[in-house]
Amino acid sequence: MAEQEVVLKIVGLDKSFGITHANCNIDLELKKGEIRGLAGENGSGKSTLLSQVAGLVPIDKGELFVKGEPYMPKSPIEAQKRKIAMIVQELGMVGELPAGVNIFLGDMDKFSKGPFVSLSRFYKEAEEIREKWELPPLNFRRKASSLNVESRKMMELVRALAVNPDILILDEVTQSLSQDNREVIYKLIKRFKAEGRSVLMISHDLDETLQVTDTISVLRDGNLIGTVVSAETSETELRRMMVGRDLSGSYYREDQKETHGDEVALKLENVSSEGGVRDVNVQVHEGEILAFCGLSDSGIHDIGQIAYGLMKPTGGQVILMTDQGEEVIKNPIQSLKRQMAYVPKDRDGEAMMMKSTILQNTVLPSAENLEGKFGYLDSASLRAVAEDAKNQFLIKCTGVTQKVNALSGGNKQKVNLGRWLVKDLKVLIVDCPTRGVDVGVKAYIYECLRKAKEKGIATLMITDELSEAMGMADRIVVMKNGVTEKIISRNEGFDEESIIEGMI
Amino acid sequence: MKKIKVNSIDIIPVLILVILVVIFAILSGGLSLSSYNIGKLIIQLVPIMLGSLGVIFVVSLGSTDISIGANAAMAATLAAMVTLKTGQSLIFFPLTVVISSLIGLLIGTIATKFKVGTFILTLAMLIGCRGFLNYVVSSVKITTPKGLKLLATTPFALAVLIVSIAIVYYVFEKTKFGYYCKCVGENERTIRSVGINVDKIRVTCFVISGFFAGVVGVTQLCRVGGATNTLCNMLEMRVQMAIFLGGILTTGGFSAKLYKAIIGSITITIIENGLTICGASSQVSEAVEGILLVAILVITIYFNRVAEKKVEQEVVEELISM
Amino acid sequence: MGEVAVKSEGAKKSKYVKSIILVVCILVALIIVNNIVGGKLLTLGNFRVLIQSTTPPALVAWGFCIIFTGNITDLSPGAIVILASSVAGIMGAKYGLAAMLLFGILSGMACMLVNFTIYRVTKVPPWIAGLGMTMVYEAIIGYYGAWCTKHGQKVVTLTGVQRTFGTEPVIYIMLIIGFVIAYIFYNHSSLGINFRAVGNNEDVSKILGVKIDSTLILGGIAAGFFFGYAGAVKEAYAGFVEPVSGLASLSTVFQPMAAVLLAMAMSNMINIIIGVPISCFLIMLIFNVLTLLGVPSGTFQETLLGVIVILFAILSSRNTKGVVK
Repeated sequence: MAEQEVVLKIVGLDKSFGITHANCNIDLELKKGEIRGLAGENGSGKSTLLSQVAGLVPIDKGELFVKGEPYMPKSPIEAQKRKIAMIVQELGMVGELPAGVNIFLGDMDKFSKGPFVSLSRFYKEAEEIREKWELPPLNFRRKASSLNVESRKMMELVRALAVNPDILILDEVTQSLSQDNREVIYKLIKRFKAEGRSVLMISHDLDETLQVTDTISVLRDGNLIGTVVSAETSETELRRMMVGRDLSGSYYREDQKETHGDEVALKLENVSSEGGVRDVNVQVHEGEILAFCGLSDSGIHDIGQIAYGLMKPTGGQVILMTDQGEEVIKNPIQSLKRQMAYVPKDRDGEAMMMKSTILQNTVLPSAENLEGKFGYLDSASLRAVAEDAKNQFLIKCTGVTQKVNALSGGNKQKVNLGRWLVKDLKVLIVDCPTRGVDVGVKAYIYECLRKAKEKGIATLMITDELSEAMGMADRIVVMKNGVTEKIISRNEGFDEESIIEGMI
Repeated sequence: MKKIKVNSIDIIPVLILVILVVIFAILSGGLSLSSYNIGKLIIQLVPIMLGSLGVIFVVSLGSTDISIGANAAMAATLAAMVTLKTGQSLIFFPLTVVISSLIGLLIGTIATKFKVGTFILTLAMLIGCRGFLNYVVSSVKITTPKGLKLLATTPFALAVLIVSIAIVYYVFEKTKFGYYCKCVGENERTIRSVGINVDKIRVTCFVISGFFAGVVGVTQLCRVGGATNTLCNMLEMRVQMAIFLGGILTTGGFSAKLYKAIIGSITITIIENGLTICGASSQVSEAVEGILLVAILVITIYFNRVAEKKVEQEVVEELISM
Repeated sequence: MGEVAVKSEGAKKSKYVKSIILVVCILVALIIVNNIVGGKLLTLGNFRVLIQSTTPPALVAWGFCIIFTGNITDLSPGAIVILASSVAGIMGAKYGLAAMLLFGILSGMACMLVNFTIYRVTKVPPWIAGLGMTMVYEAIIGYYGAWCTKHGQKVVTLTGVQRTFGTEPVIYIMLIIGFVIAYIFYNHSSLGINFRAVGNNEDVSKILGVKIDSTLILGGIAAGFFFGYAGAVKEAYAGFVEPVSGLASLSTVFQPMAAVLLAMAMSNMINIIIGVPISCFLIMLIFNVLTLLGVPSGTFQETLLGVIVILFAILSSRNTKGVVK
């Protein structure tokens, strides 16, 4: 077989968002019929890289070539013209319109007679695409919002295939699919390869990536570390490339045993939620770090909200152990009063008031305690709290009156976490503590968590980064589809294989 | 020495105010600055400023209340009816504010319980109350209750205004409640996820807005001499305009500052007063007000964005050099 | 996948049952009320008047439908309709019926073009900019009214053949034409579909390749078509239109707005374009009942309208997740 031609060439791709350097001078070549996986921790730049190739994010620096011709897409439509289609991680459909219409939105000209379109032609064409690629039956007439996540993803697949792509980009697609539909994707990828089309895919499931791809490119902190042949590498080696350091050592914890008090601080009893969490029973002890691990649909993020009272469980209760005995947590107002803390995963959207200052953000959880007579908030004591946080957590800024949206991701997270840690806490619930944070700040945050542990704070840590959980937790709760699959103790030694097995 | 940082955006409303004063002084040949006119100005200023003291709480949340005029008129009218029937003039003031606050409570409750947008909700209240008021006024004649001449005088109105400003300044700028209100406007999800009762805050803000609507209703009904169906007409729109003219954003948040509402109230009063003094027809007045409203908002939004970009730029340069 | 199919079967059945119950309730209520007002309600003459008076608000409501779908709250259409009426009247009196319709529609479209351009270019929230534009349009109308008064005339008044569009049976035809155009626009035109996409989720629409600015502005112009059309029909129906000021035009949009909100609440069962004239008719019916019961106009009708709007806003916000300001 002659050397396959290069279908996509990336030279010196560099992208920054304000202070965050998402892609550092990346060179990459993709051949015809090659199935390339992209691996890397959260924040390593995988999505940014592929989004630029697909025309979703503007390219600032670097050159791209498709089949030898220069390629600089300014929109996804331009990418589609060059036969490049991407299925994004977030849901990419307009809820109000039928799925079949969504598939051809933005490209309706070929179906229209003047200003009018016939919807039945949309559905017919979509059905033809579905048949051609041997996808399972789909109802294109339904409103996109009435479909479940899995069906929507399949619709987005039809949309990508409608372009007849030479390069198909999949960003965390299999994560939300059942095993049956995953098989459909794998079969599709094999067929692509046979037809000389290429695939670029991101998946957190390293096992899947190794099985399905020809080669894997590993990114870490915005840099392309290397590209390896899938058949010649292993998960351990991939992880080492992704994390770049050994798991032991003072990055995480030194000890290999559970170390915490015997007193239970927080109990989740038979907790079920509308989103699919079923019968979760766990207890967090004083000074313990209890990690919840799982895929994004496993329910781990719901657990955090339920534990803090932000989401009402449909069954079971959350019980906080106080000096006066047991207390059922019914709402977050209670949690705040009872010295609990919740650090949300969605930093920019939920945790921070982006256009406000560090001071205004930092004092928010403490305002109840700082309140004086007639509700008076003394500006001097407010400032003291903010300065305290800034110094304690080494927040890199021009001062506490700087606006938060000007800080780097790592420093934003320091504000997010720090505003809680300056308080006197009993329970800390933290969701994805090091998401979008560079290595230096990551280490610092782990130290903060260690300090909290020493103080006797019960920490409920939710994370989709396996290495983080294995590095920091006393016990790990592995969740899948809303149910706890297993609970492993640090004493037993954490085995990556068995944890991943429980997750997928 | 403490450096007082002055943002360029905050200066603009003041500048515009000064420019307008000058323009109208020229156009009216100095009449606008006569002591007679200044007296008129103050009388016109009181209801707008009182109204804005209440509405600023709602706006800081990012919500709207365009019912306060109808609220004021209805509360005052109903209270006057009761007062006239019972003959107890002293209950007029307190009864009015109780009724108006209850209306605010109703609005706030519907908005939080049913998640209905406040613009549509308060607009519906406006139309509904006006309809009801029309009915009441057309069937019963309601005059100012006896012995309440005092409430119609300017010194009384000014006294109420000054006391109100002092109290609102304290609550809005110096207490935890005011801080929370502004946080809700900045990012409601944030403040909810911290564990603060946003619904309670929203309802309270509407009660406050209703309360001050009642105060305005009292002063206006007494001044006019009785209830008419145009009582406090368009007050809510003018108060909204005042708030935006002062440079407060529609999203509220920390851009909501009391001094801005005060400047905005003065600005709109000067505009309306100036247009009248210059003999502009009511059509021209209305067109000018409409255009000014949009223009000022455009300027405020534009300068806000420019200021944000500039700060970002400076910070990037600083942090790179760190 | 199978799970989803089964759920929809059950849901379809209960929807069907719900709509049957609703229709029966309405019919029963009608019969009862008819008795109360001494048989004056359910007469053909009354119904003819009702349908005729429903036509202008239904046309306005279709325009509002488009605006609301674009996720925009703009109340200036009240003033725009009055402005279009005046223009239609002036042009109609001078140049005939075709000109009346044409210029009415054009003025509606022009006003909306101005409005939407302002929203997109200045990023001022539509409800505020709408209030400002309402004042401007009212001022324009008021200026014309004042000019007429100065010259000792009344505002343009149409008579006889000039009022064709507003008399039977032509007015029914106008209603049907409006319906057909609205239906095709909303459901079967690329602009309509794009506009609905942008209104529902602007970010995703952008990714999917929809040109946001041009879609919104063209959609606004489409809404303007309806406002202008409604203005022309209204002028023909009423004969003349009084200028208003002081934001009084806002109360004229309330009825169409209430109808749209009701249609939105029913949109699971009936396509919203069909729901709109039905809702308008229902509201007119309720007003008619009130009037037959002796309630003076301008009082409780307004209150009832306010209550209706709130109720339907509550109904259509039932499933809203996230923050509502």
